[in-house]
Amino acid sequence: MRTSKNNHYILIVFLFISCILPAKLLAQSHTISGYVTERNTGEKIIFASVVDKNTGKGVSTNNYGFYSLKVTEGKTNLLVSYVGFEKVNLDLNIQSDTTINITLKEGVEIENVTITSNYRPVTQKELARIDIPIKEIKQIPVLFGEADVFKAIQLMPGIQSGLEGSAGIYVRGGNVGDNLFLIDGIPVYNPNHLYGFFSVFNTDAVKNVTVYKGAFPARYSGGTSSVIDVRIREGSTKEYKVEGSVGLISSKIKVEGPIVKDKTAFLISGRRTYIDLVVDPLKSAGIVDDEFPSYNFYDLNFKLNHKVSEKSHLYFSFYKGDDKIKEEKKYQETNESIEIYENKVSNSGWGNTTGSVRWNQRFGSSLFSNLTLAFSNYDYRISDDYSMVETRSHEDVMYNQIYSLNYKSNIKDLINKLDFNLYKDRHTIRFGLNSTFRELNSGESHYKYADDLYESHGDTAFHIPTVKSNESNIYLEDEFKLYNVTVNVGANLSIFFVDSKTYTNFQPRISAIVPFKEKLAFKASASRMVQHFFLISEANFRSSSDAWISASEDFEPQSVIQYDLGFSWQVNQHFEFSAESYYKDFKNVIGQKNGETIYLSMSPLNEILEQGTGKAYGAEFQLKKTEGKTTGWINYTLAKSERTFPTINNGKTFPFRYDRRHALNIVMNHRFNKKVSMNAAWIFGSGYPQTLATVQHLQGVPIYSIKGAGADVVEFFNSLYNHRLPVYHRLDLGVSFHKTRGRYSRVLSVGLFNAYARNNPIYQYYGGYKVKTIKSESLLPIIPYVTYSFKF
Amino acid sequence: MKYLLTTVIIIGFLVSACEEETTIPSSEAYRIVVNGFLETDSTARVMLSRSMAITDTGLINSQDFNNATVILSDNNSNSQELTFVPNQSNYWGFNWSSDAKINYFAHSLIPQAGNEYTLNISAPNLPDATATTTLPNLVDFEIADSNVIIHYIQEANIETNHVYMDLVFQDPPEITNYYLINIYMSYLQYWDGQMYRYTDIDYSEINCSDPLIEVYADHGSICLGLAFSDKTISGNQKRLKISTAYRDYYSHNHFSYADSAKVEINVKFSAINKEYFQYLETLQKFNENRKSPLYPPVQVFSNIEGGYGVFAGAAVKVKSVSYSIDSEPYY
Repeated sequence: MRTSKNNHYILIVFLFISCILPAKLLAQSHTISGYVTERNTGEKIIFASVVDKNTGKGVSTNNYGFYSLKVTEGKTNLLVSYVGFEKVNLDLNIQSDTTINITLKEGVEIENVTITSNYRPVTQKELARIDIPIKEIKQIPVLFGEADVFKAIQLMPGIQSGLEGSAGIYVRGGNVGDNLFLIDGIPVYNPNHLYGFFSVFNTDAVKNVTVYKGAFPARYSGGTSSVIDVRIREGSTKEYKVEGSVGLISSKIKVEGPIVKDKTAFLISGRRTYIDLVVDPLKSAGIVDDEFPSYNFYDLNFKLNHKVSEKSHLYFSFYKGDDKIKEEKKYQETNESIEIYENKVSNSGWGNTTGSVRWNQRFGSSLFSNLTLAFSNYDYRISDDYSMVETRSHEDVMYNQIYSLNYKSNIKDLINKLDFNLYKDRHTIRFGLNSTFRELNSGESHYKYADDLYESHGDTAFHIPTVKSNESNIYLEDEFKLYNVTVNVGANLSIFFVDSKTYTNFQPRISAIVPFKEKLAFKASASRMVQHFFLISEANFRSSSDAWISASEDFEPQSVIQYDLGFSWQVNQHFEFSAESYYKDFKNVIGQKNGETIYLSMSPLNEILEQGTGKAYGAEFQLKKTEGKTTGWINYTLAKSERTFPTINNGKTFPFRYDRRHALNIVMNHRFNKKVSMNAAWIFGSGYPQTLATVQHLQGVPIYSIKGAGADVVEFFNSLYNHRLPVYHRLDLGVSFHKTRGRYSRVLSVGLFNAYARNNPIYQYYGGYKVKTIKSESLLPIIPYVTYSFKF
Repeated sequence: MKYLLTTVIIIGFLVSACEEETTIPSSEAYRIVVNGFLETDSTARVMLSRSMAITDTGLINSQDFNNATVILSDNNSNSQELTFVPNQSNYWGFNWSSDAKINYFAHSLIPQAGNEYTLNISAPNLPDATATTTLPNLVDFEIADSNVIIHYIQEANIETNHVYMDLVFQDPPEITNYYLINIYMSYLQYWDGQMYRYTDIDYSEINCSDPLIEVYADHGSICLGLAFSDKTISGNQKRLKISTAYRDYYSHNHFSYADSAKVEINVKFSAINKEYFQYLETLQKFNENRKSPLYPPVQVFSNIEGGYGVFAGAAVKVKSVSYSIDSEPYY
């Protein structure tokens, strides 16, 4: 069945390519190629636009700043541009294939005017792709003043954050594990710090962020909902530079510079929180409550790049980050008849380590290659210890309850990739292959409990067998112009070997941009994505504690077929408007069976988990102001996402855990003058669903005993995620004071997170000793922040 | 800019002000709860009670009621109204705990294996409730082997008789079957040629280490029932080793003046339908998960339209083995 379907896809793509490949050849043409770099640092610029003004033909630089463009012989005029940099016009007389390396100078800010994200006209931007300039990320007011890649991404249409205090990015109805997070092309399995308040991407070190939430190019495989491709700066080959900031809970610093000028350079950046360094002594001194969590995280980026020759570059990257949390909770309740003492100590942590060596090689002026050898390692651990003593004086009894849980898991990847870019006439052809050897330990757990009240006790250890697998991909992608229509067509063939099973999946991709007059473009795409990994999210448990499961003999790979349709309209010089709709059909999504949890179950995975289907559809609208004293955007998303499993929820369809019907984000930046700017973000979303028992009734039948013992109360809910949390909304405000003196510049930012102190519940429950009422647990009240950042 | 900022702040306050209070609609909260398990060896009976909102403070144990109209009909057009029996404290001749009353009985309708039954219930001020279930066919079994091993626990000075039994049954092919096994004890004494029977009101402990078992119906830490499906034995004969235990001294206390005495170990082997199994499975999971905050909530199975609870059935077969009890009491 699968083979027949794949053949069908292959045939369609083959026919399509056969139709469009014989594009007309240019009679007298030559190739201009080279790199686009920053003037001050030599840093390669990704997605810089290189356009032949005579013909209107253009290309974008690739991930290594390389471009190659076919032009007609003779005089030509090349326009090179990138947001935040001065445009360059080159008048050239081309008589043969020519290498031209272009440097762009960082733009001088025009008084009172800000320009953001104008990489290309909105009509040329790909469907469902978001490019977020680092400058834009740094302008968004955020918690504790820590500019963050994820916080910016979460403000984009179709993308939701999880609950406050939970990790993750939820793209168009997909789960957090359906996103492929890449640092320099290497996957990162848990890209969160501090329960997801921050991402692991240090913005000082980040060069470029691209998010694909649909219309996936064929070169990507592994994320069925999104690809978040983060590129880290390689290091200045020109001069030493230092950049850093001091914030309320963390500080960071980045140093970069040449080892051999114009040849070899390094970059090192680090960030560490000092919550633990501040809180632990205060707890010891009795100033801070004992229950306040002790937390620390850090991350470190190290890069080295070396120009072997004009045609050959070598890059070395290393990333390491880790989070450690310790929480201690004590509870005491006493009245005339009862005394309860509770004590809970929780330790948890996770960390990612990645490293890679990349070698770029140009062959002639039209072929660019990159070879990558890399590793990625992720580990996660939890331990919980709880004890409770309850004394009922009127009954003269004492109950003891204890439990402890230890859990750990890890993923190890060894990756090799070979990618090619071939620039041929009107075509940019990308092809390549890659292979990943993966060792996945989904979990070792040890659970102990003893309970006098229920007369139960247990001591169990369980280890889900480690899964070794190999995933290989071959892809071919062609981006070309057919008349006025920009088309990207391609396919990715993935072969996944696990145990004695082999999964072969053909993933065709196609997208097109159809311009209509000058300022309007219609866009459409269809794609099939497959991933061989599942993230099991615990709805009822600590939010960052997610376990990865591999496709195996028991579980088929997850796949999504997605259709996108939209249009973009350049309203005027200042405003652009875009609207996109999507429909996604999920297959083989994974869910935990009724009442099961992977951490505490000793049963085989196929008895805890099952696979089902899902649907997600929605419409996204964005009005963006890109120029002027005031810039910003208004996004609105209308969406629905649901899941259906054979037995979960008795086979009835239920809302996805992060199904959010309405989401509205308003983000504004206002530049008063060169010294003062202000920013505001208002985030609104309808409440997430939650499972909450609504009814109680008697079990009351002789199940366990013919006398009816065991008769007890059932707390019943009709359907999973039957309850909606209250709407989420908050306002974040920030003001930045800029000062520049020579090479030295600094910014002092102050602001308020959740400015009107909205209590946004992360979950609700029935509480109360005698009278039960719905109670809400909120996490973040109004939080002021101050951050001082500097650069020289 | 000022205008936009002011607008944003005003919208924020407005949205926070118009939040709705979470309440549970009474139509959802107050419904008929059915706990009805039809068995082929007795007249039909169900227990009815009323559900409450989770936030209600009323006593859940006093939510049974006597003014319902309960009609049970089968697919052969037999229909009978079940009668409320007040203060029902005796069922099968056993004492009942007060919080688990079987309160509606059929006069004569004994459920038959293979038949479909529909329950229609109406009660004042509550939505009507209906449910349908089909009883499975009877599956016969044999106690192929049994023996007793005496375990003496020195510290407690207690002697326990462990009974090991092999049950053999043939799983019917081509359909999915579910089973429940319980054990209960009867003590028999013979006096002047007369036999007197006393049956323990509790199910006895039952043990089995066969991986076939899917639900260990625990009460406290003691297993009182074994439930399983035929997914690993489909259509085949199965020999299942189970065990239970009894103590001599218990019976001697009751029958110390008898001429002779026996303990009768009754194995209740029920072919249960899918609803029954799903209810057992989810209820057991619910009872387990509520012990720890680390576990996720459990959706207890229900097949009652317009109400809550379960309506299911079993085709029951009981077979026994008996052992003489020594005339000398053990102390």
